[in-house]
Amino acid sequence: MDISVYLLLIVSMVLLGLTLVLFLSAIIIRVRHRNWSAKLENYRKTLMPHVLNYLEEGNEKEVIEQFTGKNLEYYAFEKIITEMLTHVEGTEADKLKELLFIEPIFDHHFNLLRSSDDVARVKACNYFSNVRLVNYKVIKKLKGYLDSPNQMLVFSAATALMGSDDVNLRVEALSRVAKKDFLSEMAMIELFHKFHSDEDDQNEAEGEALKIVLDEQDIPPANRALFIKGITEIGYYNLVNYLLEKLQDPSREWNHPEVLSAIIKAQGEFNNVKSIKTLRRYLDHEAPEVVVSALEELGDYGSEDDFPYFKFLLGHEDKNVKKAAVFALLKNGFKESEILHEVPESNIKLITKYVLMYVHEKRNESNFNG
Amino acid sequence: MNQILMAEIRDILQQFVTYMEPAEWLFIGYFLAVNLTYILLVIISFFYIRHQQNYYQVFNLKGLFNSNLYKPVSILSPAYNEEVNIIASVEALLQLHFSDFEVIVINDGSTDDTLKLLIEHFDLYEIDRPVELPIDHKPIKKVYRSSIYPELKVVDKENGRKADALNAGINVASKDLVCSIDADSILEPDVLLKLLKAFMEEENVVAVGGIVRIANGCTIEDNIVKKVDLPKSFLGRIQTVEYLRSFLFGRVGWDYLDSLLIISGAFGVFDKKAVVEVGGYLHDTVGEDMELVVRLHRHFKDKGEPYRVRFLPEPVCWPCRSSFLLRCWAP
Repeated sequence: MDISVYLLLIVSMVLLGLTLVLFLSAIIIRVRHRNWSAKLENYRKTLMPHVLNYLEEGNEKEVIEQFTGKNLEYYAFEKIITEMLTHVEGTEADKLKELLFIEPIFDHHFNLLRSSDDVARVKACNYFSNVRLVNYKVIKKLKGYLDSPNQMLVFSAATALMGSDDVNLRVEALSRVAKKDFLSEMAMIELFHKFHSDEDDQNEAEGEALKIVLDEQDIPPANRALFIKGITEIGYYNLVNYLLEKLQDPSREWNHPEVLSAIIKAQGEFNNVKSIKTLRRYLDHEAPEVVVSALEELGDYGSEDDFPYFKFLLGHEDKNVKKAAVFALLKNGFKESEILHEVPESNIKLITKYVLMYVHEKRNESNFNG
Repeated sequence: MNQILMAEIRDILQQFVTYMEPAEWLFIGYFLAVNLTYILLVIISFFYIRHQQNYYQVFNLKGLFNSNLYKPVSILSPAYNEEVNIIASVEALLQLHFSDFEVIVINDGSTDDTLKLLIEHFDLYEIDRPVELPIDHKPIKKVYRSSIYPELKVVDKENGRKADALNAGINVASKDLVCSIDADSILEPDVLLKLLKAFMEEENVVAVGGIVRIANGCTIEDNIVKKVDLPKSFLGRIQTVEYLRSFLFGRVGWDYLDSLLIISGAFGVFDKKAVVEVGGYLHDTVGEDMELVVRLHRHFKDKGEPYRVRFLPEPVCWPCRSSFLLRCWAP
C-alpha cells in the first residue's frame, strides 16, 4: 500500500478514537450528573423537614445530626436555605441565616477557604458573604485573597467582606480593590453597592469612611469617577462639600476629565447652590466632557448671569458642547430664532438639529406624563 | 453501447485520479487539519464550559441591579407578518428580569394585522420620530409608545428585511446596549442578567452572544420553556443537534481562542456606540450577523483599541422554527 493510504488510515483511526473517547466521556458525565441530581434530591427530602422543624421550634441540634460529612449534604443544605431566603423575610430570614452558621457548615466552608483550589475558595467566599463575619481567622483569610491575581477570587473575597456590619472592614476592602485596574467597571459598581448598607443609620459613617478611600492617591481615575457616581446615586449628602472642595482646588489625582465631570454632576444632583461659582470656572475647561457637565448643571440652575456664556459656547468646536449649550438656552426659555441669531451660517443646520432634538425630547416627555 | 459508455466513464475517472494524484497530500492535509481543528475545539469547549460553570456559580448580582449606573439594554425585535404570536412574544419580553431595559418592536412593513394588534393590545400612542438617524434604513412611518408599558416602543417602517429593521431599531434605541432577537423567540427570564456576566468579567466587551436552542417539541407554558424535548420531524431533530454542536462546541472554543467571528442574529447583545461607529448592519448580505461582527473586529483592530467579542454558553434563547426548511437553517 502507498504511504499516503497508510497515513489516511492512521489519521482516520486517531480521529475515530478521539470521537469515541469524547462520546464515552459525554455519556459518563451524563450518568454521573443524573446520579448526583438524584442524591441531591434525596438529601433535600431528608433535610427539609428538619429545617422546617427548626423554624417552628428553634432546635438546631436536630439539623446538625443529619450531617455525616459528605460534601453533597452541605451543598443540598445551602441550596435549601438560600432558596428559602428568597421567599421569607424578618425573623424567619434571620433564623435561617443563623442556621447557615451551625458548626458543621461553618467548618466545611472554613476548610474550603483554606484549600489551595481557587474554585473552592470562591465557593467559601460566597458562603461567608451570607453569614455574620465575626471570626478573625476568616476575616484574615478573606483580606489575604484581596491580593490574589485571580479576579474572581478578589471579587468574591471583597463581596464577603462587604457583608460585614463593620464599616471599617468594608472600607478597607473597598479601598484595596479600588486600586486594582483589572476589575471591570461593572464589578466595581457591584462592590460599591455592596459596600452600602441597607441600615439608614450607617449612611453618615459610610460617607466619612468613603473620604478615606477617595483620599488615597493611587486609585485609577475611572474607579474614582465611578465611586463619585455611586455616591451621587446612593445619596451620601455629607460628602457634597468634600467633593466641592476637590472641585475648587483639584490636586493631581482629582484633575482628570472623567473625575471632574462626575463631581460636577454630583453637585447638580445634590442641588448644591454653593457650587455655582465654581461650576462657572469649568465652562472654559479644555476637556469638552467637563464643559458639557458644567453646562448641563448650570442650565438647570438658570442664572441670567450665565446666559452670555451659554451663547458664547454655541460656537465651541466640539459638537457635544454645542448641543449642551443649545439645550441649556432652550431650558431657560430662549426661542429657536434667538439661538439661531447667535450662530454663524455654517452652524445653522447643526444647531437647528439640536433644537429639534430638544423639542422632540420635551414633547415625548410631556406625552408620557400627560 | 452501454459497455462502451461505461468504459469511457472509467477512462475519464482514471484520468481524473491520475491528474489529481500529485494533490493527494493536499487532500489528506486538509482532512487532517479540519477534523483536528474540530476535535480540538470540542476538547477546549469541554474544559472551558466546566471552568466557567464552576466560577459562574459565585456571582450574586443583587447590588448591581439596584443601580442605574450600569449599561441598560434595548431589546430589538424585528417583526414581519407575526400576527399569530406577536402579542405573546412581546408580553414575554416585557417580563424579563432586568432593572433597566426597553423593548423596541420594529414592524417591518407587515401586510397582516401585526401593527393593529400591537396598537390595540398595548394601547400605543404616537411619539416623535428620532431627529438623529446615524444609520441608514428604509423610512420610518411612525413611532409609538405604550401607555401601559412605558418601556415598550413600536417602530412602523417600510419593508426592508431584517438587517434594515434592526438598523431602524438601533436608531430609535435609547440605551447603551442593544440586544437583537427574532420576534418568534422566547428568552429565558434571567437571560440578560446572565449575558451581562461577560461585561462583569472584562472591560471593553463590544458584543456578546448566547446559546440559541430550538423550541419546537419543548413544553412551553406562559412563554417559559418548562420541559426540553426534541422536535417531531426528522429535519427538526437534525437541526437541534446541529445547533447544539455549533453553539456548544464551535463558538465556545472560538471564544476561548478570542477568535469569534459570529454572534447569532437570533440572539446577541452589542454595544450600541460600537455598532453605530461601524455603520450598523449591512443590507445587501445574507449573513448580516457575521458580517457585523467581522466589521467590528476590523474597526477596533484598525483603531488599535482593546475590545472583546464574547460567547457565553449559559444564556439561552429559544426560537420556534417553522416551515421554509426550518427558516433557512443557519444557527
